This record gives sequence, structure tokens and C-alpha cells, in this order.
Amino acid sequence: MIKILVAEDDEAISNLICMNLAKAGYAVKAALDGQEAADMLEKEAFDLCLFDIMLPHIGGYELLEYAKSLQIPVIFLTAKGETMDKVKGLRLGADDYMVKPFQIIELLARVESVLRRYHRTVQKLRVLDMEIDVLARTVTKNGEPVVLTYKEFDLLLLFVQNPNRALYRETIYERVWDDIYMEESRTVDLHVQRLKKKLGLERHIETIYKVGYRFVEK
Amino acid sequence: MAGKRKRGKIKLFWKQFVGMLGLILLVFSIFSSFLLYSVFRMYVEEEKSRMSEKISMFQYSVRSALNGLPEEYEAIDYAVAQIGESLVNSLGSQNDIVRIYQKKGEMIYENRTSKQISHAYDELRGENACMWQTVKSQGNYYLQSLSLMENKKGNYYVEIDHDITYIYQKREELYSQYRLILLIATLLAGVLSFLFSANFTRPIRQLSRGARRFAAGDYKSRVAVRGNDEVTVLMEDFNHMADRLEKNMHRLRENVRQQEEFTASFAHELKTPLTSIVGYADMLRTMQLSAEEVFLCGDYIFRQGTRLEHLSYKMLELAGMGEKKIRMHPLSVKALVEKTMPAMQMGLKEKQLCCEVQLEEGTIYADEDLFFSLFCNLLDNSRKACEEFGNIYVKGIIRDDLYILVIEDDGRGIPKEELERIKEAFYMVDKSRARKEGGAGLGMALCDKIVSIHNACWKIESQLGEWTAVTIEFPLYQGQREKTGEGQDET
Repeated sequence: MIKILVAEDDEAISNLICMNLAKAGYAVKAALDGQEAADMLEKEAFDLCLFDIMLPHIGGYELLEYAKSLQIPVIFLTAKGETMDKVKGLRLGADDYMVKPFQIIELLARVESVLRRYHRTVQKLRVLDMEIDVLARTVTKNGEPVVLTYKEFDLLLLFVQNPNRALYRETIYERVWDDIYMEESRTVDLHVQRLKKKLGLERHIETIYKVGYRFVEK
Repeated sequence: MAGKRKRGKIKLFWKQFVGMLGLILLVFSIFSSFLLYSVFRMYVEEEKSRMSEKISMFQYSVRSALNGLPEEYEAIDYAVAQIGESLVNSLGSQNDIVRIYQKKGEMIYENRTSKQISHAYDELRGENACMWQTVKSQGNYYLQSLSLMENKKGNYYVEIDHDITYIYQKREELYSQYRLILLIATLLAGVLSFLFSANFTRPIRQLSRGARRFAAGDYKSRVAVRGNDEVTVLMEDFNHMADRLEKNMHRLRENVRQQEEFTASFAHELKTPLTSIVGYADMLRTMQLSAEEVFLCGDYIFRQGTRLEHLSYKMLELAGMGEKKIRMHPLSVKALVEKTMPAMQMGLKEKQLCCEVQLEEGTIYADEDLFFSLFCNLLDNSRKACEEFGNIYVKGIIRDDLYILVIEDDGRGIPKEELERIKEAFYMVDKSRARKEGGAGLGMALCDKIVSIHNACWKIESQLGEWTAVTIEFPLYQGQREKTGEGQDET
């Protein structure tokens, strides 16, 4: 299981992140200040760290150096949205940068992508009767390869990585198409229909009235 | 723009340079011309007086010779010519041209043939009249005199042309020397006025360089002040101006920094609860959560929302202070504090704190609402700092014309390095604890503003883990005169 350390001094945000990461299947440890985080880094091995920059006692930048020495990837979480802060964080070796307020689904996506970059996550996802190769971008169903378009693959990945979560049409559109969602757009529905048909997921991708879709594994 | 400035600078230099050089040369030429002319005149006059002597001799000799002739003597003209010739020889005028004319302008004697010049004989009247003229003839200069010799036998005119070419030659020589001297003088004066102009414009150039350095952003640069003339005063003024500008700029920068820090902190304070609210709300709408989880999410949303609400109230209070009409009245501190205390009792009782109030009777000029806000904020800080069963002391004493209000507690204290920044907006010594107790980090910033509105000053002293004391010094209200004075200050 992948272990993630979350260092965030605001209890509410810390809890929010931990709850969601735990639901996504990660093992999460929370530290409420820099000192606590440093102690945990010393005692345990982690696969990924999420650090707030402004932490009591030991700041995020210092923690970053420590984590880097242990070769643990780091994502910064901060309310400071200025470009200079981002540049500083990334130059010091942070792997990604999240500006508050952020959406949970975005956080999960970034965590996933950083982990993949470090090969800390499995390359192949096995869901139901499908095997999804995240790097090769191929899908096989019962050992038979299924041809998906670029967007369809991203859509499938989004569903599979967020099981049991209601995905709003706008969220789907923003994550897969990386653009601002238009109210009347049917793009998402069309793609979901095609995906369902190609992979026989009619039973697993539920339509939520007026909201969007939910992927269930059962 | 730079080119224009440069041209201006050069212009002044050249003006100075050319003006000075011109003046020197003008004075020099006038003086030398005058000198040359008077030397020349002197020579001419000398020759003239020598010739005058000859002429007088001539006149005298002719007259006496003619007088000695019989009345009926016919060959007077011839006799005059004879006398003339003998006189030329005896007077040593062999080098001169001597001509004698009859009254009709007819020449009767000439010692040398040379080019003749017609004369205006009629202008000569009276005995011993003489006419002078400088004549140039065949490259030679002659000083020509024409004198009348009156005689009862008729008038005769004697013309003597004395060669003065040597004077002209001498003058030519002097002129060429003068030109040489003028050239040397020009060079000398040129060098001198160049140096002078350069020296004169140097401080101006320095000043200009200094101003340009300053404009380019080197606000520390100053002009080196030397000498004590008007330019020095200008330089001193410039430096003074630079000092003031630098100070102002520093203050403005400081203001901007504080403003930026305020904005950044505000954004931070706003984004942190928002992140939780958005996140938990998103969880509620996208996931099927257990009843316990739903409660947890709702609770977080509520608490973070309350935090935002609190922040917005404090922000309004802080922002509104500038707009709110401040009504200053002479008020008794004791009465004010006693009015405020009941509102605070609840909080104090909760922690079982002991609050001791000892106030001297004194009147200050204050706005009741603002004083209330100030006192509540400070007392609330003390309450938060104290453990259970802690003590808070409120003391008021009059010293000179100040009313000193001290609020002291034996709570956890403030670390020394934090004391300086504690009055800044959003500054929190312990962020997580402050948030738990509902603080937004604006209380002290608010107090600072209220204190300055009351023309008071305040200081915070603390010993970590032992005590904290806030001392506010209000100017004591001193009757009508003070009131009108302060009233003007505030409105």
C-alpha cells in the first residue's frame, strides 16, 4: 500500500485530505506541524509527501529538503498563489504545487500523476474484467484488447480512479477536456455512452439524474 | 531627453567660455589700440611742432626780407623764391618738399619736383594761419603744412611736406607685434577661460550627475558639497531634497509592503477556510458517506464558515473605522471600564479568572464605542492567554498629564521576537491555537488604530510563560481649551 505523509497545520484541511486519500486507497499519516512531520519522516518510509509551506516550527521548504534527501516526491499545498512562490517551490525540487482552495479530485489526480512518475504506483490497473495499462494507454477486456480514443481512455481512467464518487458533468469536462464546461454541452454524455458500449459498462457507470455519472465496481 | 539635458550643459559651458574669452580680448584690443594710436599721435605731433618752428622761421624771414625791399621793387616773386631757397638750405629742410605759391595759386618756387596737390587757399585767413594735412604720395606719407605769409606786397603761401613715412612704418611694425601679442593673449585667455568655465560648471555637472544617478534609482547617492557659493547652497538643497525624498520613498515602500502583506495574509485567511468548506461540501455531494462522516463534514463546514464570518466582521470593523463618525467626548475612565466589565464577565467566569480593577478617577477625551472595543479586545486577549484560575489586573493611574491604563495578566506571555510584529494585521503568535479560539489575527491591529485615533500611545511588555502587560497612555482631558484643540484634530 502506498503511504502518504500530509503536513498541514489547519486541522480541517488536514482531515479533508486524509479522508479523501484514505478513501482513494492510500495509507495516510497526518502531521499538524513541521517538527511532527520531520519526526515521522525519520521513523517511517513514505512514498509521497504533501506539505503546506507555512508550517509552525519547521517550514515547508525545509521539510522539502529533508524529503528530497530521502528521495520522496513532494507536492506543495499552499494559499500563496504568487508565481514567484511556485517557482521557488518547484526550483527547490517540489514535484507539483497545489494552490488553495483546490478541489479534491484535482488533488487525487496530481497525487496519482506524481506517483506514476516515480513508479510508486502500479502500471496496470485491474478493475472488474478489465486490465488498464496506464503508461501504454491500452485496455484489455477478458484478455481481448479494446481500442479507445484518447478522450475515452482519459474518461475511463477518471472513472476507475474515482470509484463510488459522483462525477459532475462539469468536473468530468474540466478534467478530461481541460476546458471550461458549457451548460448545454452533450460532449460528456456522448463519450460516456460510447465508453459504456465499448467496454460493456452499462451496469457499472450509473447515471445520476441532472448531475452526471458514478462508477461502481460491484 | 538625455540629449537635451546634455546640450543644455554644454551651452552653459560655451557661453561662459566664449563670453569670458570675448571680454578679455575686447578689453585687451581696446586698450592696445588706444595705446598704439596715442604713440602714433605723439610722433606726429612731435613732427608737427618741429615743422611749426620751421614755418615760423620761414614766415619771419620772408616778412623781414620783404620789408627790407624798396616799395617799387617789381621782382617780388623772384625775391621770395630766392629767400625760400636760402631758407630751405639754412633750415635743413633739404629732405622736405617746399613750395611757395603766389596768392593766385601760382607756384613760384619748388625745391624738388613732385606731384602737386591743389589747396583750398581761401580757408587760410589771418596772420600766421597754418593748415595741416597728412598726404600719401607715391608710397610715402607726408605731413603737409600750408601757411599764409601776409604782406603788404601781397599774400604768399608756403607749403612744406615733411616725410613721415617712418612713423607709419613704425606703426606697421607695432601692428604686427600687436597681432602676435594678440594671438598669444587669445591663447592664454582661451586656456584661462576654459579652465575657469570648467571649474565654474563642475559643481553644476556634479549636481546634474547626482540628479541623474538619483533618477536612475540610486537613492543613496548624494552630491559632495564643496566651497560656499550659491551652487553650494543649491547642492545642499539638492541633498536635503534627496534625503526627504528617500525618507518618503522608504515610508511609501513600507506602506506598500504592509499593504501587500495585509492582502497576502487576508487572502491566506480567506482561502484556508474556503478550501475546507469547498472540499467537505464536494465530499458531501459526490460520495456516499456514512452518517458519522456526513456529520463530520457538516461540522467542519459550519465551523470554517463561522470562522469566515468572524473574519468578515473584524474586517468590516477595521475598514469601517476610517468611515465611522468618531464622536470624542470627555469621559471618565473609571465609568467607561465599569460599563464595559459586565459584558466581559461571562468569558471571565468560564475560565474562573480573577479580575482585579483599580482605577484612579480621571477624564480622557474618547469615543465611547471605540474605547469599549479597545478595552474588550485587550481584556479578551488576556482572558485567552490565561490558564484557569489566572489573574488579570486592570490599573489606572495619573502621571503628569497622562492617564495610564495598564492591563496585565499572568498568562502564557508572548515570545520576545514576536512582540514587534504583534500589532500587524493577521499576525498570530500561535496560529492553530488562535484559530481554535476564534481569532482572526486582527484584534491588535484594530487596537493599534483605536489607540492612534485617541492620540494615545501604547506598549506591550511580556515575559514568556509569566506575564503580559499592555500599557496605554492617554492624554488627560484638561478642560475647554484642550477640548477645542483636540476636537479640531479629530474632525
